[in-house]
Amino acid sequence: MELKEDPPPARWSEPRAAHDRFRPGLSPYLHYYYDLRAERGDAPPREPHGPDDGADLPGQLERALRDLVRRTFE
Amino acid sequence: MMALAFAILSSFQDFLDDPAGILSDDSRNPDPREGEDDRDLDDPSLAYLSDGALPDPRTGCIIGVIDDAIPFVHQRFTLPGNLSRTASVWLQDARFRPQPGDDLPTGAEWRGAELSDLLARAASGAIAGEETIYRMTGAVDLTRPATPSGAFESGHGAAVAPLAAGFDPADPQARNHPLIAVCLPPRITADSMGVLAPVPILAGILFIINRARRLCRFIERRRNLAPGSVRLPVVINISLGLTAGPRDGSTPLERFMDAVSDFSAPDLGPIHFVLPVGNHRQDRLRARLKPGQHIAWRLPADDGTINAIEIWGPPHAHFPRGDLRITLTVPGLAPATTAFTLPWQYSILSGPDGRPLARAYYTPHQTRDGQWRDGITVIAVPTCPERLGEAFAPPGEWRVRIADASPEGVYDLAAQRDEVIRGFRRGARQSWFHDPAYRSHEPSGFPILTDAQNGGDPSVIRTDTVNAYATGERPLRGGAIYRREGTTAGYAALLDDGQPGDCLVPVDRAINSPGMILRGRDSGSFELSSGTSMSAPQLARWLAGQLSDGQRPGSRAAIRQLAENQSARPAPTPMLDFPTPFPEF
Repeated sequence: MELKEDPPPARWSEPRAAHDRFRPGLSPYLHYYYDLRAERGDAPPREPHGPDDGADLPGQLERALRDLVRRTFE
Repeated sequence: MMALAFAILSSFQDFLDDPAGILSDDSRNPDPREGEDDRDLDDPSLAYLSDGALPDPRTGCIIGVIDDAIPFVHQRFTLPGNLSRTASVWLQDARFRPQPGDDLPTGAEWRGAELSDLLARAASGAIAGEETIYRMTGAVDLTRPATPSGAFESGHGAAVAPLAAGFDPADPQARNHPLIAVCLPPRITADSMGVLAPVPILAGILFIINRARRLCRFIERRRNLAPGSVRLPVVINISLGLTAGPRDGSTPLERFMDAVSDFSAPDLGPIHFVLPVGNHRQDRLRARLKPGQHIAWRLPADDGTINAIEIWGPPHAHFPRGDLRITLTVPGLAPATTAFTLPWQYSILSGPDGRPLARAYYTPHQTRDGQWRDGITVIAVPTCPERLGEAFAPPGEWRVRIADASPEGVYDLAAQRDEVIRGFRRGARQSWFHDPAYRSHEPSGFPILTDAQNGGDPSVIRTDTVNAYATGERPLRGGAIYRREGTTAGYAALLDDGQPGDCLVPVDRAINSPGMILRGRDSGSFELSSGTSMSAPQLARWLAGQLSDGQRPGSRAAIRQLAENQSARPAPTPMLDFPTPFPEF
């Protein structure tokens, strides 16, 4: 009987924060495109963040949204 | 009132920082004005409309349109005497123009009085016509690097805007509907995923609200009315969408639209949003899984753009801690499972040679009721590198599995749209989910249109394929029917309750004759277009007419009730029919 070889491994890198503070429009896609532009030399490379630098982002997003709604009608 | 620049600059710094490179370098305002003044009420060169184009302060209703390449001097946006009904247009990516948009972060703004002047000069032969106006205003500039979609005869915005706000100049309703338009950067439209659009759209909404309020003050000044007495309602049409997202109304754009619609401003009437329900019911971009289940994700070869899916978990009460884990299996490689612990972490998946194949981002968010939902976005690098030496991923059948240890519940999966938009040259190819239990057609050849008709229990679904911008509580979602048959268009997405929208309007001429005849960019020209992008503006126009008539529906249900009352076919989803804008020929 012919044995099938195990497929070669794939691995995820250690998680690290994509962002360390909230910015409007913040998204995985923007993060990817920025890195792509940086790789191509069209944008400066970003400073790497630690794994927990983005932990407060959901809270920051909430506050920013409330602030934006308030200021829209000031 | 806070200056618009300050609101946008402080809230949309990312728009200016432009991490995705969507703006042209010469579009940026180097020194935005931060203070607010009343020059726009007194200076004739800054006037929003000519006196002869001012709407009735009691029955007017402003129509806002956010789109690509809006033909703002089209004959359908004028009144007799070459008067512009376009009160203001913001060309977000045009070469920066210091006046009148010195409070804007980018681009050029043109207002109604000066557009009326240009139209008069064109009518007299002093300038060569509409085309010259578009070139003079910066809407068309073939010397700049971005795709010149403003020059397209059959552009998206050229079809949408006249449908929402275009009137015969002699139509007595015309004057009551001034247009405030936002032309998005062409690179936004080129990205068919639409994932770069939310910030420019948010900025566009802020612009429309700000200019609508100023237009009300302008009308008061010109008509000698008391300050704050003119409160015109506003209907904003956004014929744009996403195919992936949490679909629970919790994205910032959706929550902002809801908040704006809920707010009662002392100096402006109610604000309504109308969006398309979406066009991707049949494209296998939506699936549901439980922990331990997996699904195939098929990536086409020769795709020069990224492919992306989003996975959203069931709601839970505690702060996100990385409970959601997914296992991704790339063709020919062993499975690998994510291991996030905190929000907004990301990991890069590499093959045995260390080259990146995909990324995963952990993006949990808070729902409207204060609970949390775990989310992971997977971005696979292009299967054909855009440039030599860049990373590429193997095409074929990838597998996505919700790890066994993930919390119990249903997980929503959606793939982002990834197609080439007409006129924009990019090598995009659509990925999709594959489940053998999903049947696209009956043996007789007819398409299967609902999950119930499909039968069985496939992971790939048609329900809840609604535009992911349109799951908030307030916006009206327009669905499409075939005019001749009166049946729902097969491509039109379904809401989570299975309905094909909140209201339906005819778009395609017939099942075997897709598309409707619409106006092209130049006055007198026409084009054929299809999709629920054409439903939304018809409903926006109808809603603006209702508001002009004094109706004040306070919720989506109330708007729907209004439609039911006027519909010859009110159930199960009200269908509104309008005379065809062009005679059938």
